[in-house]
Amino acid sequence: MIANALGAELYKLSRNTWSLFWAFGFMPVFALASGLLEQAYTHFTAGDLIPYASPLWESFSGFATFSVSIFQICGIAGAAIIFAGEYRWETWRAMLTRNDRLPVMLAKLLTFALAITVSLVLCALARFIVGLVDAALTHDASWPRADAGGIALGHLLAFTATFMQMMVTASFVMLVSVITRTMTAGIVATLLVLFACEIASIRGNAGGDPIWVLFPNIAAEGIRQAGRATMGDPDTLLSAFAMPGAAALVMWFVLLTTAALTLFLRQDLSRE
Amino acid sequence: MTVALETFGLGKSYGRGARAVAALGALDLSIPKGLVYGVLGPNGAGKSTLLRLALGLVRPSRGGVRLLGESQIDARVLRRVGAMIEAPSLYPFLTARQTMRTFAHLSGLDDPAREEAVLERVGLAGAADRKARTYSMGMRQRLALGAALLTRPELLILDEPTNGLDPAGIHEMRTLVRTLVDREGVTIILSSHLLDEVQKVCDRVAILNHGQLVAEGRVSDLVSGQGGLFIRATPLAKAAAIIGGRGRPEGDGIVVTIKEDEVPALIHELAAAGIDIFEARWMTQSLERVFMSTMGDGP
Repeated sequence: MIANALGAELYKLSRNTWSLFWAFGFMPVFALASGLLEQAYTHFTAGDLIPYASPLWESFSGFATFSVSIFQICGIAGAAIIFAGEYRWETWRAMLTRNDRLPVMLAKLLTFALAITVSLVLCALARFIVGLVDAALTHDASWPRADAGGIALGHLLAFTATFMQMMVTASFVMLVSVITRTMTAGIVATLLVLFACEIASIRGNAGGDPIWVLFPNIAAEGIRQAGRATMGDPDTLLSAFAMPGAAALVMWFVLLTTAALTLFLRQDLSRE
Repeated sequence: MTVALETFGLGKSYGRGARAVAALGALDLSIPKGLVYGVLGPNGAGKSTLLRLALGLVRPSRGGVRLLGESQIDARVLRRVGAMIEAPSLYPFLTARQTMRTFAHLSGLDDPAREEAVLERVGLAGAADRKARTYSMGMRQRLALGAALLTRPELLILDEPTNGLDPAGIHEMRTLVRTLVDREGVTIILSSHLLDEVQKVCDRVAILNHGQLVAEGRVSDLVSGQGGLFIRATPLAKAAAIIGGRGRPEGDGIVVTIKEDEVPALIHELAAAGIDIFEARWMTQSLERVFMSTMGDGP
């Protein structure tokens, strides 16, 4: 059942071209285009303030593209299309006569996970290309002090952090979509909550009390900084938050997803 | 197992406490297989609620439902059912062909030839690569019907299937419904406001009002025995005197409420009295009249 539902979700998303681009394709394009423009401006107009490039640090930062609320807006829109689309187009009544509720919703979650994975990898690749262009322009490049294993682990941690952060965001969108049955609420409410989290957790960026890991942005930043430490960066205030941060992100994901699924399984679809 | 849908004291209320609104009372209904079954009723009678309950889209407040013999309404049984509930629900960004593919994926069906055949059958093969958002209401209705037919269902549940269709489309829909039942053994449950169409296409009907079942039976039984004899004769006053309280004036004649087998005797009596009979026509009761009288608003 879940394989059928996943097939349908992926097929549907792949045919929803514009939404697919703006939700998951725009950020990699933006990362590439803005990076190249920045390099061109710096090299040809402003002068190279930093006379060397760091392609692997660029790709590492690419994995953090969705780490800030304003940049999550694309992913949030993507999640809203996936989770609230059936309410908007009133298609639940057609879908749920072909498959069961649980596999359908889990398939949506998997679809988002796959799409955001591809988007994150493309963002990292885009930033890596920007780093290579920078290296070509400046005729110099610096590399992380870690070995290949450390660099790979650092990238993996950066990916995992942002991926988990986005999955928490997606599960929140799912919950709001199920409760409100509207796509707009899924986008607006999530964005506002993420923004509020960032404002409220500003002090958490300085480390200190582990209570800050309850904020998903701080939790994910802790994991990313652990990745930076793995790649040889000593300036990582939050790296001690990596493990509790991962636990916090998993907790939020499980809580929000369970709440959304529980409500959805009991929901009367007398209207969509 | 000869029953397509059974309900046992099935009821649905929305809201809680004093603000609860009963959409469906305690409904006991048994819909046999192998026929076209019409569910009739005014707006808010509970027709769509009944169909949504049957498909597991809403949970009953009381009682239960058994679909194709299964009381657990899940995809296992729902894949034996095709459904089109209320307005067609389609993805605006998908073409008809992509819509079929999506529902085929969702149903675990891998048969592209079947998808094409269904598009052909509902008359959308020529517009299969147009996005659903560009479709007229009638085309959307056809596409939704196609999606419902995709898995070769044993039971088809259609809520207002002729909405948005032009007269030719309605005729095609009627032909399709009868073909599916008569030649392919599909059972069809449909709700409609078009009582004339229901009378033409349905074998049995249930009439709901305020969530309660107010009439149920074969269409032929519901409309038989309630007909009348229309007589146009001269002198009409003399004929009216002979007919007495059994008749009521209508147009330039009289409608006589009698049994069909009493008609020859009445004709003889009128002729023997020297009345010239220009027209004597048996008027079959229409389902619409039955419906209106059942609703308490009829003649």
